[in-house]
Amino acid sequence: MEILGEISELLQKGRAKNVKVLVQQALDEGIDPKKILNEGLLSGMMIIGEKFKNNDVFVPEVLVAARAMNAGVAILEPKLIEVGNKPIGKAIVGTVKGDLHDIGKNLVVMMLKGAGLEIHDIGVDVEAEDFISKAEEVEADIICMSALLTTTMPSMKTVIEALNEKGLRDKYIVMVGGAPVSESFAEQIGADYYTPDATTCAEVAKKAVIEKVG
Amino acid sequence: MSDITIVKQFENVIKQEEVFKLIDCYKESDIYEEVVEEYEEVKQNVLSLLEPYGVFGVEKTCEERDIEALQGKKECIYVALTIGNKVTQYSNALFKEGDYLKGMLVDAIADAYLFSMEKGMEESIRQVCAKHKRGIEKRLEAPHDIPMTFQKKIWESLQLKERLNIDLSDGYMFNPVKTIGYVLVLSEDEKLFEIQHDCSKCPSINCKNRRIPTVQIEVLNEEGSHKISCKKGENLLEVLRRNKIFPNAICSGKGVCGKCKVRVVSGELPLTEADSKKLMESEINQGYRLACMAQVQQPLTVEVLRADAHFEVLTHYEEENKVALEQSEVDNRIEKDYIIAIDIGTTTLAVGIVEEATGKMTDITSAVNRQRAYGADVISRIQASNEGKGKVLQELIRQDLWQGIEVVIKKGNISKERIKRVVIGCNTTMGHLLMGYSCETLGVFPFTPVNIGTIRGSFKEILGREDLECEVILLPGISTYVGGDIVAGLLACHFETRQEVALFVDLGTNGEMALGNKDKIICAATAAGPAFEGGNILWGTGSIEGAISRVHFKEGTMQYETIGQKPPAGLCGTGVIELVAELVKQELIDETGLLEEDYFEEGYPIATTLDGESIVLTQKDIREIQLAKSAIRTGIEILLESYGVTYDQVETVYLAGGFGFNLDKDKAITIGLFPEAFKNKIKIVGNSSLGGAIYYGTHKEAEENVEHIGKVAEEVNLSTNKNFNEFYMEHMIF
Repeated sequence: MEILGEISELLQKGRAKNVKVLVQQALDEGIDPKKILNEGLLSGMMIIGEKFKNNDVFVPEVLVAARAMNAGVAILEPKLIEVGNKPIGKAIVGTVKGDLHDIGKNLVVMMLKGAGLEIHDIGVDVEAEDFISKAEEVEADIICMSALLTTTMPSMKTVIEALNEKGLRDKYIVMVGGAPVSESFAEQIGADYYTPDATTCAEVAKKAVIEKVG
Repeated sequence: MSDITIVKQFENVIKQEEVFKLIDCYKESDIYEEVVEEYEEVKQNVLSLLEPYGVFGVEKTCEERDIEALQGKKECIYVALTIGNKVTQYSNALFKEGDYLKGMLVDAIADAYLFSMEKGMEESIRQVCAKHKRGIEKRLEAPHDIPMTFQKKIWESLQLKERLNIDLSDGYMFNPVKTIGYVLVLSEDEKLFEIQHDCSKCPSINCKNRRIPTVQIEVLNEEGSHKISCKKGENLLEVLRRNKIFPNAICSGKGVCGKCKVRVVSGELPLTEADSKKLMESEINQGYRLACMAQVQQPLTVEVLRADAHFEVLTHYEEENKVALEQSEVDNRIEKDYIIAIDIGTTTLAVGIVEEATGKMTDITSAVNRQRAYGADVISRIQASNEGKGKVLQELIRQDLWQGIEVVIKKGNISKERIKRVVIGCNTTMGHLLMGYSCETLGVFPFTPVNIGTIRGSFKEILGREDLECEVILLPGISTYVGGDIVAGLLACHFETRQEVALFVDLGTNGEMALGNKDKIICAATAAGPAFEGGNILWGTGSIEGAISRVHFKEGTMQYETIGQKPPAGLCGTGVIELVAELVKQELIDETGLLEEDYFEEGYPIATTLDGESIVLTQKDIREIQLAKSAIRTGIEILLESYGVTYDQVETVYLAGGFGFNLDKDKAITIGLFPEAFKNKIKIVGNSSLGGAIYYGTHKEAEENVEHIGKVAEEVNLSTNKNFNEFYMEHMIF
């Protein structure tokens, strides 16, 4: 289906308007909205993420591609709901208690959406309780926590401990990230994954959620 | 606190280039113009939302015993700058709407503005300093120079809540986020004015605003001295790699394998935890450090020697099926045509030049695959490629191959036009890296390759240069883990015409094997691990000079031979196998693999190095060998069972690869790598990947033969076989 390839190409170039037009056209042609999402939009995002990792493109190119993706999804969404399409998984994303940094978290949210997950952005300075109650409320698969300071990193542990206490730990995939966070810290506090950047986070989240849901 | 000064007027000096630098937007980008447009669009909005305030004051008593930078210091200036919360809200709102580019730009403009405010404060601070007859010795910032908790002190002293409505979070972070605070330590020297952030001490290596001096490093290696430079604080292994100097890094720079050691000749590299763990005391005293954990802080001279440079590379191959051209026809030619045959191994490379008509090898050269600097096995190369090193890896192998090709052409004084084709045998990962394909799918289930077929292209397309104009061919593979090197081996052993069933085994990390004849071939890759190549073995090493390669029990003692008859330096794969075999025979290892009690703790000592260290085989080493040999043996058993043949029905067992080449067949049978019944059937074929590439390059029918092999061959999944576990446990014992 050529049009889907074209959507993917235009998305990678960040052409939000053209993406919108083509997504509408694809719908008019009767192409399955799920197919448009997966083979047009999400596949384009995957390619741009890969290019970013290889240093072929930089942050701005990813930003415009993600924006184009968003524009396409806006057209597609009502149809996706109609056909009962479910996202591959749901994730809660927030910066932990005591920490107010938002830009890194915002980029993570953007990339996770680009990987086809349903995202609940619960902001910054989030209490452990709020991570958990929101995750329970929306029946999330993943809890993503961000911390940019050594002083706020322990809040990640608090969330994991609270999950353990409630016997909910096994229910969620817990992912952590942020400048001072490391693989060994993640291991130490019992998180499932540490990822060094937003692109890797999206990749790992996607794989993990597919494994979990099966 | 005295002399509290509040500054509200700041010049609007936002420089587009600084903002763009913060978000990595460059003129070469396809979307540069678009970003400029959007920048212009949001810039005015940001300016209208700014609420810039600066405040500072002099603190006469701010000695902190627990903070190194403030010990004994009496006077400081505390500074805080903010632009308020509205810009952050604007940025967040844009992100929520999905207008990510604008959101990011707004955030970057805010940062650029905040940094520029520092400049705007300078004059007022200078005046206060002059009044007190003080200079500024240095600037301190949390969390690098002073702990985050100190921000509370700044917050309280400057009364930030009351004056500017700035809050402090539980993590000692100022709210609004776009607020910075720092401490200026005063000096009696009035002339000093070190008010700038000292980037050289800051650990944020990747910061876009990093302004730091470069450090010169002189590197000494086999090729002489190289002068290179890096930024202060950079990782030494990264710096070396960037300058095309590749120490061994089997673990790919995680501080685990201990192989990337360099010797500091002058200057200093502080001892790291990994150094203490992985290096011997004598080495540390001699100045050895692990490059992967070292941060360059000052000018250095380091010696980077590669033990691997002396790797024994297998260039021998079986020559039983040479072309039988009429001699006269060949001699009558004025100038001969040639082909180049290449084996790309994960560890080593071999490049041979061969007469097209006769298949006679005129010259051959070999080298270590420099991709090894990114890890010893295919898995770590796949990881490196996935982490954005794909281009570097491709460039490395292209360079290595070209060097080899240049050597053989020059040695034989062969004109480039006479080279008709280049044929390459290699495993699937090596092929992907050479072609620059993504390796994403190679490492995860269901392990799908990007391209497994025969790959043909011009010299330029595949090797990236125009020195030769001939075609380059990569032999096809069967699956991701049974690649073109194995197909080359099957071709070299003529599976495509064979009536009787034969077994082909390449004894390496992936332990690929194939069983069959012209009608049906089944193959598999076993996860043997690196033990046969000396990996995961305490004193294990590659086939380097000084490696113990042979062990015999004679006259009541264990006697050994080393490669190149050099003083013992470790155990290579064959050395480990032979030692285990002899220990089993002497009953110092029991059937279950348990080492005799006397040696259980310290390991069995086989030799002593020049430095007086004892080379031992440990209990853990034996377990590794058990796992590896059982993996291979299990593979063989499952292939036989799936094919429906017995040991007796196997006519020949071809053993390929460098490790197989030097293996003592009897000892391999002693440890149970092969069944007793194979004793007189094992035939060593050497570098059959190279042999197959030569055959392909010199025989017209080879293309068809390879196609035939591809058609009749299929991969068997060992781990899902119902008898896998049973076999695996059974063959673990000796």
